Amino acid sequence: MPRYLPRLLVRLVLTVFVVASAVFFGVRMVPGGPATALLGADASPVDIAAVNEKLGLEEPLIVQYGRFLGQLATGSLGNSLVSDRPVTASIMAVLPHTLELAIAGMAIGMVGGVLLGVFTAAYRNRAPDYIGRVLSLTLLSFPSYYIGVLLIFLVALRVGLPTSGAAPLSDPLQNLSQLILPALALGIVGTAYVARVTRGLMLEVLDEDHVRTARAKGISEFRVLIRHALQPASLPIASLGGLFFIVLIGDAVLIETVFARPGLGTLMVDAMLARDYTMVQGAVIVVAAVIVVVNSLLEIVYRLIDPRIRVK
Amino acid sequence: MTELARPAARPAAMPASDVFLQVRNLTTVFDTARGTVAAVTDVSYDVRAGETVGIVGESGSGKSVSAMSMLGLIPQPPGRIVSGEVLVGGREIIGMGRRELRAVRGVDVSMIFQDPMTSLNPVHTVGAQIVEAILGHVRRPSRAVRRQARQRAVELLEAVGVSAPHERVHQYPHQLSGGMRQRVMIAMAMSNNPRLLIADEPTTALDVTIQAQIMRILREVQQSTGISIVLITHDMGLIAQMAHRVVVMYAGRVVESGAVEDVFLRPRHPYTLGLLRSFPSNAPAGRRQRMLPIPGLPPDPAALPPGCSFAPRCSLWAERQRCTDEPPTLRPADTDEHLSACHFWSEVGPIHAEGEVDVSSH
Ligand SMILES: Nc1ncnc2c1ncn2[C@@H]1O[C@H](COP(=O)(O)OP(=O)(O)OP(=O)(O)O)[C@@H](O)[C@H]1O
Ligand SMILES: [Mg+2]
Repeated sequence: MPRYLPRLLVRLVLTVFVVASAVFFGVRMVPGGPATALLGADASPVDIAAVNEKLGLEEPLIVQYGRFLGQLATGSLGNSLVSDRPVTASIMAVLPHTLELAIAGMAIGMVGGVLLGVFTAAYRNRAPDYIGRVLSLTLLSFPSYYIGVLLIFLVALRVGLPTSGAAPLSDPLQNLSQLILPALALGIVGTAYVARVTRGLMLEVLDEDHVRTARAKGISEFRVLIRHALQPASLPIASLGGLFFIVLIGDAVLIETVFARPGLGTLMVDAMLARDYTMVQGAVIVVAAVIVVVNSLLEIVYRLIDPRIRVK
Repeated sequence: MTELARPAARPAAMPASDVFLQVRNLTTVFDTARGTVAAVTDVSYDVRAGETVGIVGESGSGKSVSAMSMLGLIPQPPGRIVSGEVLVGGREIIGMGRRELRAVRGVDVSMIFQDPMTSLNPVHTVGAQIVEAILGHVRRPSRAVRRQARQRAVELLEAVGVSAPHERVHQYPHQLSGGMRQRVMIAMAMSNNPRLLIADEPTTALDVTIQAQIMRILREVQQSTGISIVLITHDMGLIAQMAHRVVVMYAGRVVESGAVEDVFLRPRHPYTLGLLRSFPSNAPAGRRQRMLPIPGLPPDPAALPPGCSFAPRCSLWAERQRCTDEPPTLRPADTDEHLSACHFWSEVGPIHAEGEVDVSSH
């Protein structure tokens, strides 16, 4: 087992603990308490008492907190206030849809962005560079849900791709047909963003002495670009990927709504509208955990990319 | 020391009189925000097979730009080679296609640079970087060729005095000292048995003892392979130790060139005289030479003075009209081999009556 794995695990546990605690106390700091927030300001005292009992809110805060953490440690996020079914079951049912959307969006953003960034850097200050830069700036000024709407009108309706829903992975064709447009909507803005950052990093590395050495060796310019510029630049690009993923998870919520796609985003929106606060709380905790896991995985990628970290 | 040249390689040395590199009227400019600036103007010199030519001059005099122009390594834009010829082994380099140029780089002409700390790729092992220099010139290398290249990387490292080369090939640049890295650079530069090595201030970033080691390695490499070396430096002492001939540059132009003995004993340009007077002598301890820096600063290449660029700093000028009216050209002084770009070259005096500069070391 790699030595850094325990550290990553500790980080995961700590982050989930902090996020969960913040959510726990945040909810209880609402004026009038969660019951008022749930039922509205003009709710009857009887109803409020009933909700308080159901949530265990009449007990001392420290007891509630202890029970909450105990539950969390066993992997339980409590039951839905609306359906009374376990929150984890509802989340697990839709989590794969969100994960595949986020991963596909991230893949499009990173691959497209790195390609465009390397291309524009290779043509620094020449026509392809200007075109690429104007294109990415234009794309950056669109929010992703707007691109989603455009894709529905301009592509889905003409090509006949479905504009809503999601299919399980066991039906790959249907799954892909419902994934492609939302993933594009997520990925396109990312492409523009990653392209700009990649271009900047590439230009920086291309000015370094070791690139001149590589050129003086007489190797192909393609090799110079990939092995001697992109590879040293890929560490900051990968860490950008970690940040990008956090933004992407947030965007996924909107995109799922635009494409009426089941997932954490739609689940959270529905739960908020229904004031199902255990569900919201559970979803927030799961999102935090996903973000930590993804960033931890990226850290493993860094080690593969950069020997200066690997050797330490 | 292991032989650097492989047995089956091309003949180790051409006849000593054969000119391998000819630079003719090379002019390189940069298009900057302040307009077009000439970094190198009308530079000409020859390098013969097996000899070392030193290029000296203050910072900004165009030494690096002239060397990089020879391999097409000037960033374009902003750089531009406006005119001139560079003949490598009789073949014109300027205007060559990308692919042809690539076949010259690292194969006929190699280059090493000032700062070995930054001149190697930090994310690849030194072995991989040497292997790349070899395989970069092989189309679809077979397994056997790859294995040979790896083997050769180890041999090359051994030849430049890297201890435990079998382990070193697997190390990254940050695991090596500056001196070791410069050895790696030399090994890499020698990997395709080039005929010319351009060393751009190869020891400026290293401390004095390491500097001596690197110079010794360069000399050994030259002896075992017959390679020509262009040694770019600020250090007149290094020129005296290493070079057969010297090219002195000022403000992008060659102001004097000739055999080291001639130029050092009887400089024919006041700038060369100034350089010789301004460097700490290697005279015996106790007989300390006065250091006389050249007054003033090198001119801004975007605003060169009219006539002779050196006139404002010149000890001989004495407000003579000719110096500010007529740009001097490089012409024979004393002998056909000793060239000077000074109207009044015959007035340039010797360095010192005693002549502390030691040129007898080679
Ligand atoms: N990329 C560039 N853009 C604009 N001007 C440049 C560029 N590279 C070099 N120059 C200019 O060319 C001139 C010659 O520079 P060069 O690097 O050849 O000097 P040098 O003699 O090698 O000096 P040093 O001893 O400091 O290395 C300088 O005036 C410099 O400002
Ligand atoms: Mg230089």
